[in-house]
Amino acid sequence: MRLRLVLREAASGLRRNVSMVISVVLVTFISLTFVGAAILLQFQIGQMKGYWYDRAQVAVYLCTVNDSGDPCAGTETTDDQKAAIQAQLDSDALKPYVKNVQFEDHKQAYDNFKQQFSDSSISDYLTPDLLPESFRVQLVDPSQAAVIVEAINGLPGVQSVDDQRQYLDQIFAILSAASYTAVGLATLMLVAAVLLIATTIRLSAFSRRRELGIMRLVGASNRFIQTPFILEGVFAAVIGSVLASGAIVAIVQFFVRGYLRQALGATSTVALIGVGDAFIVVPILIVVGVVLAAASAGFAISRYLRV
Amino acid sequence: MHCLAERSGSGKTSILRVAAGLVPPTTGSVSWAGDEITGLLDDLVTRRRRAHVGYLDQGGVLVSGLSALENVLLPAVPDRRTRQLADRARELLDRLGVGARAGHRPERLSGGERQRVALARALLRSPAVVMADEPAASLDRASADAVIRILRDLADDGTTVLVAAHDPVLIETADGVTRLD
Repeated sequence: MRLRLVLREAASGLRRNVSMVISVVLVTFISLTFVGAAILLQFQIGQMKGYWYDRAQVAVYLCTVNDSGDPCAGTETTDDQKAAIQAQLDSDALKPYVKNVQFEDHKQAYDNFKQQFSDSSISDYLTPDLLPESFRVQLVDPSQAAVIVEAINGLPGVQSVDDQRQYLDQIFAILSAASYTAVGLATLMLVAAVLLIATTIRLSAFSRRRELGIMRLVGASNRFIQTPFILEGVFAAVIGSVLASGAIVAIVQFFVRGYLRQALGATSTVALIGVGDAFIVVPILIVVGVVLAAASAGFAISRYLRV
Repeated sequence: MHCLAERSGSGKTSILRVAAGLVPPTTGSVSWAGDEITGLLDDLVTRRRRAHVGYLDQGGVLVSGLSALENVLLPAVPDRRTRQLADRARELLDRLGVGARAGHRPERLSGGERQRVALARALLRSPAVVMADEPAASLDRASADAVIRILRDLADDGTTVLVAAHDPVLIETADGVTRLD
């Protein structure tokens, strides 16, 4: 009878407040979808960072006759200077940081440029000698690029030393800002959801205040009286959480793995998150939904426990 | 059997609720059988009330959706003793003349029947004290007299009965009366 009574009371509350319960379901659904999207965006950023940072190189650009200013003064880097730079990269001090070094001469630089800008007419106006030669240094730990930059920058014949990670950092900063915006919106929506759940439970308690009074009179514990109301809030929040989970899986399956993958092209090297990542987010959303609903419903009903 | 008597709004119900430990007193203290309950944790007071006090609320409010028998068994729900006390619940309904209505929902019972079901609920756990708030107020004379007789019988059998009432017959029936000014 105990369980039946609790479930009967919860079902009665849900029936009496259908429109409020639907509002709770929708607000929970939308807010948790934002939470899920923010988590997935962080997953995506993490995955891209891992992929691209590993491939980020330090490029040591050499002087060409066209570099008229400092430090080249219109002089092409000599073979001796190139050898000195290579020796410095191979030195004992830098060896632990360097995975491998590739030299790109004028012709290779020109070929690469033409390949990258094949659909642009700009390559028609370039000649190989306009593009600088360079050493492409791949690092054991890409976060240690500053050591190479400091050691090579300023050597005779070096036009500039470029850490490619700085470009990636800008992209990841934008993605992180988008992620934090989603978190901010999710937080606002969650606050709305919590307040709505509390209001719904208060209305439900108000409409059953006589029955609540009886339960107090017959010596039912506060926990026993609270349970149907908490179940009522949790039930609505669970539906919202399940809908949000479905939306998150659908976003990954149809938008990320479907549309985005196609838009980036089959040869794209961007590592995208998968449905497996979405399934990691699902239990988080359900737990957040249940805990918030239980806490706000429990808080809302506590004031009705005095007859 | 003791009666708190005076017109409506004089504070009879408030005193009864304070005495039942449902509401803490603003000043002073409440003791049950010599043990002070004021200041105790709410759950502790609730457990003690469940064991020792039967409370009959004004109007005999029942939980809709439950049968009369299930309503009587409500005080057994928190302790999961509904099966053990089912026979006693039926016996009480019989004794109070509503045994034939055990399976009916509150909306199908008359005011007097609801009041008697509510009284059966208050008596289920054989409390040492029964507190009744205007037990005859919403009843016709015959039903009111029947309820008053039951309360008198309880008092004669050794149960302490504390009632709040303005019904002259009930006040007459009580062994002692406190009038609130």
